[in-house]
Amino acid sequence: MSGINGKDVEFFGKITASMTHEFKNVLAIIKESAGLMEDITKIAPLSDSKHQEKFDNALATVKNQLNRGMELSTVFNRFAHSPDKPRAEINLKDLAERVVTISARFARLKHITLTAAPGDKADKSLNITGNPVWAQMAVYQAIECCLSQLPPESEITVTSRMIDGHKGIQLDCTNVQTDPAGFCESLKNAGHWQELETVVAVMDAHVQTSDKGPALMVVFD
Amino acid sequence: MDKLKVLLVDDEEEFVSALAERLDIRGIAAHVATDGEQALEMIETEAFQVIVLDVIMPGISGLEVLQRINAKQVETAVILLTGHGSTKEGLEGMRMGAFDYLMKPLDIDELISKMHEAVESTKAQRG
Repeated sequence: MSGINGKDVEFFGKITASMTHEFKNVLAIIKESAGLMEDITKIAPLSDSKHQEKFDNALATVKNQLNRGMELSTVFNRFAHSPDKPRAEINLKDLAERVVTISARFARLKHITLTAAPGDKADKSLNITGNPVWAQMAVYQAIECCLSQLPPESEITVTSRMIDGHKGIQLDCTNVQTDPAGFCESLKNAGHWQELETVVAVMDAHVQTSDKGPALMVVFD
Repeated sequence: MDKLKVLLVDDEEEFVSALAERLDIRGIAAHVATDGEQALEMIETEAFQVIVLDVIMPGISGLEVLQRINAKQVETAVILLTGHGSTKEGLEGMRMGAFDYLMKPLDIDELISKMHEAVESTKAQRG
């Protein structure tokens, strides 16, 4: 395992951040070129309306995927910059959203819906101070733990909130196969649990299950 | 009313040429430079109401170009282009006298509105 200030993490962060900037430049070129195509067809529409419709649909797909690419590259850029400071202020709402985005593919492969609950990022009452890389790893491991115990068509909602007077992140799960207590027990027996406990311990945090429903909580302070 | 005359400076040639054509369609005379040296040469011979300047370019950086424009006391407004995570350079540029900064990829309507604001601001400063 790398040290918190490991040169390897720093190296990966630096190179990845630089590549996300390049990726943004690629998206900027695609965006302007697609915009120009749209401008031109507005001035001079294609003579065949069927072709025009297909053209418009294809252009709409390009624009949608551009937006998706921009959102992903923005999140990825922020992820890449996370090793910049070994200790920084972390907004838990922002953390939840970012880790949900970077974990979305793992959930999608299991046909599980992963979402971050809406909230106010300007609200600093849920800010903590700690290592941004490890904070992300903690939430990611918690998501992995839930994914490993949920069947397809389940949902995980990730919420930043106060938990028994402490700042934390809660993962509420649906469609569990057993009663909530049984599900929580299965999380503790999951292969990811030990790794999750190790990661949260580095953050001086802890992990717990809920006694009110099928939920996992990472409590930061 | 005269066409707004702007200079777009960015080393990504395909980006800047597509942007210039889009602005041209919208009635803005957009000229292009693909590095800082070329931009400074163009400013010597032509007057631009707005210069849209990428911050990070090979050779002379956008901020250095801005510094040289300031030294020439050219009456033009500068809008900087930054990548995500480069807000530091954008703010530094504003401290150096740039009108504002925008992040790439751009929203063309936002760029045009910022250009008009910049021109109005230059006029107001002139009195």
